[in-house]
Amino acid sequence: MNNSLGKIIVSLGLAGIPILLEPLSLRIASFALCAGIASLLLVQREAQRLSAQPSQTDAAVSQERSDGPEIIHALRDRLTTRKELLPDLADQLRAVVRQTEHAVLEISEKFMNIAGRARGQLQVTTDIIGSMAQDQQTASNLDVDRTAKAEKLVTKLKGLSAETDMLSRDINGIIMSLQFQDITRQEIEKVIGQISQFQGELNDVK
Amino acid sequence: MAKTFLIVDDSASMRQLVAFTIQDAGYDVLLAENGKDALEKMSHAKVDMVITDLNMPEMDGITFIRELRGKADYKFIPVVMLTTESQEAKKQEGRAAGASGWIVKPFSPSQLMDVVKKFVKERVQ
Repeated sequence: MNNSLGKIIVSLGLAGIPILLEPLSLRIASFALCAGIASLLLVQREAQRLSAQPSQTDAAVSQERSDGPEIIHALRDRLTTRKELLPDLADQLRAVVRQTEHAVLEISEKFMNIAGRARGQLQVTTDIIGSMAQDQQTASNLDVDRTAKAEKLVTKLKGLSAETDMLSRDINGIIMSLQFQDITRQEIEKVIGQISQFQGELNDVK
Repeated sequence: MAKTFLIVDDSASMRQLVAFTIQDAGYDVLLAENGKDALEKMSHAKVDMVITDLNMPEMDGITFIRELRGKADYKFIPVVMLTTESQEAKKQEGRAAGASGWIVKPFSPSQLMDVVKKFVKERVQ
């Protein structure tokens, strides 16, 4: 490579000689010849550089090839370590599912007891006030005081009816919310299935 | 006599919530953990309607319905699937197996009772 560079310098030096020559046409011809030689040498140098590149690439590839088994070995070691974590991960997810299922079961049992009692008490109260209102209305034709009492009871009855509607709406909302544990559980079970499948595939890697 | 519903779900809390809704409307309920358990229970008791989940261990909902439709006593019993699956392909699979209706979780009690009343009414007619 240094040899080529020397030639180029010499050629460019020669290109300066025609300045000293006479006549002008000879000076121009000599200059063109020297410049042509220099250009050819430059092209040759570039071609050498390019032809040298594949050999360097080959060297790098062959280096990588020699490193290949080590990289694969390191990857395999890492996979083996990670692979051992997968059953633990699946077990932890199963434990979470069991715990949440247990918690939701307890909550729903208590909720149903409370909802059942509340509904029952509301119903009993509504029935009592309803029958009292009916009694008052039956006897109210002659008694102004009793008419006022009957009206009060009817107002209370309406209030209880609104309470019952609100309780029903709340119960519906709670029933819907409690189902999200089951929906999440099924999604987690799909993830556990995929972890097991992935583990199986890793086991197949020799 | 009150009609009897069989609720099939592998989740205990789901069985409870569906049972609560159905009993609240004045019906009787039987509970089963999966398709196999449901078939076993149905061989000992008369059931008027079934509400079943799809994904269950031992025997899933689709297999259970196919088995059920193979039995003379339960060939025409209403079977509603109550599941997290909402894909059309799954619904078609359910219909092909013999499901009468499909409700996607989470259900609202009023939505469930609308479906239940529709089938109970049809059975009475």
